Amino acid sequence: MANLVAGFCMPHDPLMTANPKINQQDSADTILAGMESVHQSLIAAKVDTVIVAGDDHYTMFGPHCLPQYLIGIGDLDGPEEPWLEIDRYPFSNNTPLAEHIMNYGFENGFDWAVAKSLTVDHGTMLPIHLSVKPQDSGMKVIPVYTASGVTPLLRTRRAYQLGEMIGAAVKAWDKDENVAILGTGGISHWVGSKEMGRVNPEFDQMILKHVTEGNAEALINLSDEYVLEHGGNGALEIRNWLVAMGAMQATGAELICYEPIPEWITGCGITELKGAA
Amino acid sequence: MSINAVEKIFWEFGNDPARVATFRANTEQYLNDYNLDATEREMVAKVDLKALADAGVSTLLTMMVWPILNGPEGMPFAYLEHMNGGKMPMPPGS
Repeated sequence: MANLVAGFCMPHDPLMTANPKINQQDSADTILAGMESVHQSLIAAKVDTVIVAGDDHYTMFGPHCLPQYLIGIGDLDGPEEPWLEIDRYPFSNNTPLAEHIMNYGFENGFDWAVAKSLTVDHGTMLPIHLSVKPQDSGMKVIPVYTASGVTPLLRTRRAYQLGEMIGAAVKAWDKDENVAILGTGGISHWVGSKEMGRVNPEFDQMILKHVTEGNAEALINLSDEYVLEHGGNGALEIRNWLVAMGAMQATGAELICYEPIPEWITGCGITELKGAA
Repeated sequence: MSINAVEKIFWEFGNDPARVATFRANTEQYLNDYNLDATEREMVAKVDLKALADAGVSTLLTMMVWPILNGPEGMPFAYLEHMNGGKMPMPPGS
């Protein structure tokens, strides 16, 4: 039986690599150190495979096809965007486990969209590059994309249920492997709209409080209208955090760091999930 | 007003920036290939991203195509000024 040994909620802010030197450097350094601390935790937990839940930003998927949730089961490389200041490179999937999670979903009411090859965007690539470091660590990656950035949006409850299914699938995997899950995305941020650059620390703290208290239900019950008003369109990405919380059956979390960074247009928070998984 | 065709045009710009040269060379002819109403057609032709965003076009796309259409040096401040109707809001990090 595989073990889900660690789970984190964390940002995937593209400016972490595209614009790492800013006036608010102490805050940037704190978040970058937090991303490194996640890497060290994954190493300490002897993780073999990291499931990374993120969302597309109209970069990978177009108006012609917008999956509610997608799993990458085959070849992987990234990033899609050249402006991230990361040279594109390939990294390894754990295809047997990815196919197992895919099939477990099919048999339990989750009709995945599936990618046999995938060039990932910053929505998963930043955590992969900064916290998994597959080229150095040898850890394998299974990317999961949720509809959190482009409408129609994945329902928040379904995001949590998706995570629950992923967690159950990992437990049902008969190989002795250590697995971790990263739920990625910023907290408050307004992407591309006239408010871009605004950050709402009060909203961010409310989200972090729910995460650290393991209160997924409170996050599920936040209406999209409320999130859009107080956290911006980028904050809809808490769906990816819900995937990780569902997988871990999180009963709480430890706050690693939080910084509101207007120059990175985002409230950035990192937590380590605690749970029964 | 349907925003779908506008989002298709912009997504294709992002996916294949070479299309922008064709769009620039003969905008009217380029737009004939898309199911745009007159209002959409005018806003796309004028690259009025603020009006398109107000009409519901994804701001992920308006932000993506701004540097493709106007040059990367305008990001983020010229873009923000445009999206705020010509008034520059407090810049991020100020």
